[in-house]
Amino acid sequence: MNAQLERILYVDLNEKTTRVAKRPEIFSKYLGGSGVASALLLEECPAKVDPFSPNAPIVLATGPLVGMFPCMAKGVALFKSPLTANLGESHAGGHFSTALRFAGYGAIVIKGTADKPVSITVDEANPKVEYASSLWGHSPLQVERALRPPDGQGTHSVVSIGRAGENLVYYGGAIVDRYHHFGRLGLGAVMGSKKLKALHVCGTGDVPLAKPAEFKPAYEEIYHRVVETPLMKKYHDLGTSANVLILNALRALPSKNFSVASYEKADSLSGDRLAEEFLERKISCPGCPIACIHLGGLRTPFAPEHEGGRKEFFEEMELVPYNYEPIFALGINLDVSDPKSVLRLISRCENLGIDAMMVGAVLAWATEAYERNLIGAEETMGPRPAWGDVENYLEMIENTANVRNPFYVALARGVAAAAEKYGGKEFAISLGKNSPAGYFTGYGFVVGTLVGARHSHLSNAGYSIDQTAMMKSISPEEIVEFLVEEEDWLSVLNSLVACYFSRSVYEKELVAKALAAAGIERTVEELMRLGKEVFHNLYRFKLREGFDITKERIPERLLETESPAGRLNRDTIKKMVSYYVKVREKEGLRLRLEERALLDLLVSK
Amino acid sequence: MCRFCREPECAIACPHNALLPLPEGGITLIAEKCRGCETFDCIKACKLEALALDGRTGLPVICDRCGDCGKFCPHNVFRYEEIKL
Repeated sequence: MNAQLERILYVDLNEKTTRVAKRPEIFSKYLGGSGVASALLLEECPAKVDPFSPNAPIVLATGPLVGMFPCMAKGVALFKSPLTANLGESHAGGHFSTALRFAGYGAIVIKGTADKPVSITVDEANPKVEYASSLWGHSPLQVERALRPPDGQGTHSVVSIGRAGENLVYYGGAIVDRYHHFGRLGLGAVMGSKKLKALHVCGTGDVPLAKPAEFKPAYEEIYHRVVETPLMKKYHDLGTSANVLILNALRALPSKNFSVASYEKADSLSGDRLAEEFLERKISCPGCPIACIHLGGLRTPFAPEHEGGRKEFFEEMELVPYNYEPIFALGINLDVSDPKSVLRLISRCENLGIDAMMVGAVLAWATEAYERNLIGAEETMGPRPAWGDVENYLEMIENTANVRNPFYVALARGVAAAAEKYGGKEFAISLGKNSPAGYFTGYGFVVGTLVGARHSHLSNAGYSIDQTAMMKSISPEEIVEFLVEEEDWLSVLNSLVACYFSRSVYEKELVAKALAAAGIERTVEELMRLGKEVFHNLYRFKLREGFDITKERIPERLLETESPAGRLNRDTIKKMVSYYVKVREKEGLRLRLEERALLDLLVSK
Repeated sequence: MCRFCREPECAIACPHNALLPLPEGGITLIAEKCRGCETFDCIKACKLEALALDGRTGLPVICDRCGDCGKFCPHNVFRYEEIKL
């Protein structure tokens, strides 16, 4: 196996064939991950293609340091998102990227639509497409159990969709190895449209060391920083659910559909509480000493008791992955304050393969829409959504994933689409058609999510500059400059497929050193230029597909609720977006801004 | 066990068309067409590994939905239901 990535697996689902091409130039230019995938997406995706068209590609990529260094195990997926009708980008942990690299591939490009449900087996010798009707309809967990060989040698990964993806729910995700997710922008729905139930990746090769003498000291330095400094402690101990109390103390914890940025019952959903009462196991991606994935034990009855037996002996233990975002989206934002109920809601989403964050946004909107009689029991087919009412929410999640009537069709298209049809846009919380994360920290968060390539808080870490702004005075322009620089640098990390939790470990010089040990010489300046270029590639796709920042809207609610930076001011946000556009235009990325049109920005009605 | 697929991969895999897909899902075996072949195409095709070869007859064992398992599973893993077609 080559020390450098170069092979791409092309899968044609129309013909159920595969072929392999060597593209060393694309990997030497863009390293891997988002860099390589964005170039392949631009190459493969016809302009303005329907996300569910056979011609719409799915591009999956691994990175050049995978299998070598800690916290280098993310897989990147690029596709046309049904949710935004634009760029779909999603990153997942698990064994996917490692197995892919050990199978000898740097990326996979999947096109076409199969005539019947299929799965793809990705291995070095004989990658193939096979019929898999028997898997259709089953949960990702069941699929994984069926496909993972009990005694398989090598590194295996199963990426599969649930019923949400099969039913083309716009935010159906793909689950990786039970507990990791390609979430958010609907990769699962795109797989469903292709009748692609699952990929089983089996890597039996290895990664030869290009520079063994440089590798060991680089590894030691990184390992030391990961394990023996406090840089990643948070992720190991409580995981991101530690954020519940941190954000609540900052009054940046949105609850009840962002109507207030604190939660009086935050203690009941704190990271400590979950760890003490529910934590059963922690798991990690390959080569990661952190183990950030926290699995909570959820006891549920699996059968009615018999032989006069005791009820508690007819319960089974299900392991449910929990972290901050689903606790926020399905707990705090819906006023479900009982942790067991939150685990039940997460479990339902896992089972159906549906994005928990968007589910939370949709249910929060539906709760208010129901209160205001915009929708009624006829639309919901019975359930009466009400804050904290877990049984109704569970039923509605099921109905959404199975798109049971026209109302649930609207819900299955995301919160913005639902409000478009039934009203209540002012409290339909979405930015760039994606539902925002649970960090109501201030301007950086809102503007960052709005301008970020994938409309995620992770695009450019706006929440982080907001937290700095709570301690010292930072101008709106400085916030924007931070967002630009951060997203450029994160585009480098996305091309390496480094985990964001390790981003304080992987400082720029250390990244250059790690790459050098892998035989890839890059100066920090070259890396920064690469990051910008990758970001520009992603935005070129967005612009080509019709993204227009001047047409974006911010729901009124986000301008009414008190944040740590006070009530967010419409004009300040407009100024920041204008400034962002100017900064990017100076780089040669034209965002088609018209000053006049910016006046419309933010107005929800 | 067999989940009565609508477009069963076992039937597609059989080179002799010995497995007939049923309109309600699942398959039936046309014994005279089955060669009891040693390629195990049908058995290998099923992603759920729900098919097995009967060592005595050399034919695949096909669930004929008698429903007995539903009567004898105390945990309600199987449930017997009459379905109208």
